[in-house]
Amino acid sequence: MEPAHLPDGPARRAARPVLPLQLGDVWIAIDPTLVQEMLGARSWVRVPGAMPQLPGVLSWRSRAIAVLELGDLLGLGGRASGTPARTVVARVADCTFAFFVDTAREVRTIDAAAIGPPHAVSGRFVTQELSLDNKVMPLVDLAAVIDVVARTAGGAG
Amino acid sequence: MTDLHAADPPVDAVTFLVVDAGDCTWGIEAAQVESVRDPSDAEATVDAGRLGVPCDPAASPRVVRLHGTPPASVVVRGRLAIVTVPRADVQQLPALLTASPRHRAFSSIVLADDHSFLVVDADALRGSC
Repeated sequence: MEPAHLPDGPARRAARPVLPLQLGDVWIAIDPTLVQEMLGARSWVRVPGAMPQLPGVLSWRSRAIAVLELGDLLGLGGRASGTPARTVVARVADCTFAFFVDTAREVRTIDAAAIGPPHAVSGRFVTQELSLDNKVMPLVDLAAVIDVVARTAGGAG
Repeated sequence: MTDLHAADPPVDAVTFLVVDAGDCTWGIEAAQVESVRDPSDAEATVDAGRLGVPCDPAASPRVVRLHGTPPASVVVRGRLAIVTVPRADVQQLPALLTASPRHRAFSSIVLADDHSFLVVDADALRGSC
């Protein structure tokens, strides 16, 4: 992946890091400051009766953390393949969770002006989009994802 | 009758009565279990399936009687085993999962290399009986 162009001067202060991830055929970007660790493929345990979007747990640093089915949650049509290559461990507030992706690229820093309202992409939790390496991808708000999952899980009977 | 307490586990280990219910394996701390018996007409029991605990409908029913108050006898269905794991392998379930009323019976999970199973909270079972 080519290095992103950064403008000089004051605009550089508005630069923003993003982490591009691929789920199936779909590329998304997230805030890399939420990522705790990037792992390879990890086994996990399915919890019976769990929501499809929150199907189980995996062991990380001697604790059990929730596994999210991010593709389902986003409604983007993207879903990690049967044996996803990468496991992303992220943290929002006091909630640590994992989700699976097929590809994770290096963190890129892009001009904040290059991030705008979504036009070419749509989906839940997508409030912005960006263009990177000729790919338009949604910038996913993981905090909003966790907020909705927590409220849904609390009401799931 | 299954002997749950043939040997006390080491201090840094926990013994579970584990039920392999096919799609899901779960366990209950052996120290919470008074006995495992065949069903009898004389005993009031609650089917674990009604409490949200997985069961294998094809398996023969066994009655797990729990220690404590109030007394509780729960019918479980699945392949039973006694498993001892390092205490460090017993991990709290994430709050995201325990928030669901469906999972109130589950308190933690054992995630070990050779054993992975959900742990059912004995107090939750007693309270549901």
